[in-house]
Amino acid sequence: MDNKEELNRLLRQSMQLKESEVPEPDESIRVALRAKVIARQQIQPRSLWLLYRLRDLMNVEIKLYQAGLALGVFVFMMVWLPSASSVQKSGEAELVADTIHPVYSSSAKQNKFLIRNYIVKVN
Amino acid sequence: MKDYSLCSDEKLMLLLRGGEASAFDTLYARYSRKLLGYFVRMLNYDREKAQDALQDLFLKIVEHPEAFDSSRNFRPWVYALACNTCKNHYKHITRVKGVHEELRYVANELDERSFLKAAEKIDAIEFRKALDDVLEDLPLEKKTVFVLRFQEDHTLLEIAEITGASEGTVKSRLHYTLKILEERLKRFNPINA
Repeated sequence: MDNKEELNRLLRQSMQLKESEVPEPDESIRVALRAKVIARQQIQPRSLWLLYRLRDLMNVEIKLYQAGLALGVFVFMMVWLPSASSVQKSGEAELVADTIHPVYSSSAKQNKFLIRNYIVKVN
Repeated sequence: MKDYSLCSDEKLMLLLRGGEASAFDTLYARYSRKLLGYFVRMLNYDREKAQDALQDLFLKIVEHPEAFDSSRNFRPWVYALACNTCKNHYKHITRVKGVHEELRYVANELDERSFLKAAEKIDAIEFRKALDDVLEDLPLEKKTVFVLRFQEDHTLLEIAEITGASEGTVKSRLHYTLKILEERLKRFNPINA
């Protein structure tokens, strides 16, 4: 038996079960299980549809590195966002520019308008 | 009754979760006989035990369809379930005698016109009997790998997924089994005959 391919072919052939060796699956099993499936449909009211979908969503497999990455991004955002906004507040700059036409639409009373953190005065 | 014959197994499982009975019918029609063949072989031709195992397996599917991760393939998953079901039934099995004698009779009936053909057939049956004897003596995990490979035609990667072992372990189990088979079946010398 040195011919590996031939041995594999022979084993495959010998391992195939004859029709007479495999009985027909018991029909009563199928009927009983089918009834269980239908019963399952009945205990899933449409009002709970969202709940079942949420449960399915929670069933999604998440790898450890994905969870770690998400946690890292979350912590970074929590630390970086407050500090970035405080820099914005303290570093407020004022930009004064002459215009040919007076701008009234932004602030009719004070005659100035804001672009991001710059204050533009219109003379 | 809806026709789901073109649906993938994975889609059918999603429908089954929602209580779609026709989806169950389609899955059952696709896999019941195939899995029954697997159980018959694994449980040493005990047909009654094989039917029980089939029922247990489909009961698990029907009662806990959410256990199936729909991003994965259904086939390796269902065979993994079948392997676990076999483990539970394997402790209580006894070899059913007479199956080969029955086959010998069938072979004689079919080939009575040609003595040569009948002789070949009987030789094949003897080989089959010897193969079954070897398989019966194998530890469960090695027998599982062998049956999945040569009867169910799974790839090594699929067998690794089904059994939860690494591909290397699957290869080594298969190698070990083939070595034993080579040793115990060499009297047939089937290749050089």
